[in-house]
Amino acid sequence: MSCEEPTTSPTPENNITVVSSDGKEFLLDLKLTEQSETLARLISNFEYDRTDVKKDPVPLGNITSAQMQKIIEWLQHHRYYPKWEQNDIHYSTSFTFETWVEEYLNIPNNEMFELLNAANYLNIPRLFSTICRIMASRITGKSAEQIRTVLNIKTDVKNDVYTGIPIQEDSSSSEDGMSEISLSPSPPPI
Amino acid sequence: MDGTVFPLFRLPDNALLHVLRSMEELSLIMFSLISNRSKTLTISANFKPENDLKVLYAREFTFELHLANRDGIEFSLYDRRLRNRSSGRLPIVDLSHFVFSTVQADQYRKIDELIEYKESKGWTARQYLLHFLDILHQPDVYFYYRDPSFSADSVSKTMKGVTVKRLCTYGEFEFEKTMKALNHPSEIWFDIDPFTSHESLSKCYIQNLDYLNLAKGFMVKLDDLLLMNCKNIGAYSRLREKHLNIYIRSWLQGQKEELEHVCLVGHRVYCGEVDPFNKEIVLKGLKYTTVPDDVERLFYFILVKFTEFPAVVIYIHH
Repeated sequence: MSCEEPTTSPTPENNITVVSSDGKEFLLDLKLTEQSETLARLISNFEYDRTDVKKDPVPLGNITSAQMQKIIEWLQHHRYYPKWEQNDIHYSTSFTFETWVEEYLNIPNNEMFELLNAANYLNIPRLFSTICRIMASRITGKSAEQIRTVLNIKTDVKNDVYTGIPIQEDSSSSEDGMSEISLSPSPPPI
Repeated sequence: MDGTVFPLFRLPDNALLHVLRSMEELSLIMFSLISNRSKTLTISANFKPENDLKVLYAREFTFELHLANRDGIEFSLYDRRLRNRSSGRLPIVDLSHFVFSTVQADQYRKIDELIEYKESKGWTARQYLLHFLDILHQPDVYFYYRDPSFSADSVSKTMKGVTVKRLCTYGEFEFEKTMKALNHPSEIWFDIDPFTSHESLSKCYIQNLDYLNLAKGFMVKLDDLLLMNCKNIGAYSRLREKHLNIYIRSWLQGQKEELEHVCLVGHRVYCGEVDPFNKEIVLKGLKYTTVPDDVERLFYFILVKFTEFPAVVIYIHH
């Protein structure tokens, strides 16, 4: 779905100011904040949707200005989209994304990680779910070693998987035979 | 892929689980093999296969998974170095101690998409088995015993403590020891007759099994059928009309309380010949209704279409 409605410029009556962790202020249209459950709840609690209420800047200590810029771009694009409804499609062999989304999230893995954290903090379900799916699709078709590299997971071969106890190379056999495995296995003589 | 990393484990739990649940199954299983934590997280993602886990015990140790939205995945465990030397097959080794170096994931009908994982943990077949059972939340295990070269002791060491629901065998094997090693499966499929005496075969027949499927080599007789204490029976038989009538009547008279379904296939059907039963003799003294040709019935889990076997499959539902 694509919505190319013209965007309206924020006015003091219909916007709030958010402040990123590096001190930069962003004027945010109240319409855009509806996509963020965190901001929407905050606006509702402080009644910032009323014109007679003084609106203090909202500090977003976990989000940098670069991330905020990126998020505003997302919010602007999805301004007129219907409310996101999470479906329960899990373990799909393929997800499809609209071209704009693919270009928008064509960013390095580390930036994707930061953006996912920001989407989680601001509770923007559509962005959150889309990043999760994009990240999952980047892993599709990879071997365990490649997944390990992409996700920066360290191996823990020195611990027994089922007991958590470090395996000694000279460990004696146990009842289930699991401790007979050495760390540097060589095939048995044929 | 850019050179940067996505430090998954640093994500909050809800985000982490959402990423895992967005992964396709094969990626998630590969992910589970990486580390203890990735295994624990995979368990948390609550991924379950559609039905069962097939374990193929042969020169390779293979797991077969059938999944809801794809044909399935097969994981073959072997040692690449040995495999190369032996024309694509492993030598016969005791799998209970054999350490696999390679896992090859084969997505059915996607021959070009084999994914190979070089193992570094030094796991045996048993450790892989326990890993799969854990991450798949203890599915039913179907055990396919494909290579008679392996002893029941080897099977026992590998399968110790794992309850196998179905045993399918393809060759002679030590029946009693293997049954014990597999925690007495409730369903057995014999491809060939592994028994050396009728006495040992009779011991098998009298067990209270959920399902007993006997391949053509058995050719069960009336005495065999009367011995069986199974809920469901599938077998080839030379049973004639008179004996079949006796069997049905004994069943209806309550001598086979456990029995739910019987599917007997006349052996000549297999050769493409049809030797129709005389209905009057088969049903002599019995009340019955005639089933229309277009009726389909589910026999345990096998769909029987009467139009396809008009004269050779006798379907009895007690």
